[in-house]
Amino acid sequence: MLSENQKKRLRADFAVLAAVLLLSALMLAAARLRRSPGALVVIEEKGGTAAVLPLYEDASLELEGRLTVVIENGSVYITGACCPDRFCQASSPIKYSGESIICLPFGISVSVTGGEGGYDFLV
Amino acid sequence: MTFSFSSGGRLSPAGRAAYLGVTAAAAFGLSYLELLIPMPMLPGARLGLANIAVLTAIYLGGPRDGVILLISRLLTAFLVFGSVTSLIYSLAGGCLSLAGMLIAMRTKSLSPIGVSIIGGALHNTGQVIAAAVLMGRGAFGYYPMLLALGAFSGAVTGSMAAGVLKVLRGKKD
Repeated sequence: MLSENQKKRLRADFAVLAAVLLLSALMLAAARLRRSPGALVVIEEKGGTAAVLPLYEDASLELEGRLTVVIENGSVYITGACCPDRFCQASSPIKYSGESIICLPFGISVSVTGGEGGYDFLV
Repeated sequence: MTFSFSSGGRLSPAGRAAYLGVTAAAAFGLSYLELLIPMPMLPGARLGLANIAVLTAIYLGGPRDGVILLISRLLTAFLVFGSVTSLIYSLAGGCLSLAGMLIAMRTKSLSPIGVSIIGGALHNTGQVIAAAVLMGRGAFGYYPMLLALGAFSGAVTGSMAAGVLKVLRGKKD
């Protein structure tokens, strides 16, 4: 059976795992709570910002030989990915400020930013 | 740091070369194997099976073996799969992970499983940081999920490594 020392270590292991998962859950919750509708679509790649488009105008931007960013009905998604894996296409469309879809092979990041906070004050 | 299988005795230089070679090959094989296991929820995430080999190496041979394994793992993966961006992500993740694991080992309060949990979490953390440097803050969006996934896969690979170590070390605590 396990020695006392081993049991102590396993308890510590479990504590570490719990701590990391808790941290992760807190981050997710914080992001969820703070989310607000976006206004802009920012496309970044290795050189810097490639393009900034408004979220509420339907558009389609093809990044030559890599992928196509589609803005439709206030959401953004990716099609036409030229990499072998195409993980970016599998992501669901994004529309909240702070959300993003990234493409690791081509080093492209498509994020939704801008927009005011979620609530307006009526005067 | 001495190294010995359960049969006892230290390794000769040739024996050590052979041992490191086999372990490095195992690390590479595991890297390849895990590509065959897709992760439906988070596309692109990996199990980090190669860490089983790295973890075994640092427990049996100390930090130096860990560095040797890390470098050989990165090089073989790069030579075969040939992606520079991938190399950068793996380098960032691997270094942060190895450093964290060595520190965790030093504290002597965790089993290999706990060390591996830290290793897995740090590996994905390093990758996200590298991705953010390369392509902007958008990369951080995936971090909460990747952190959790890294910790979980670390627990899994750590358990496997613990089993391997038990066999290789023979009857020891």
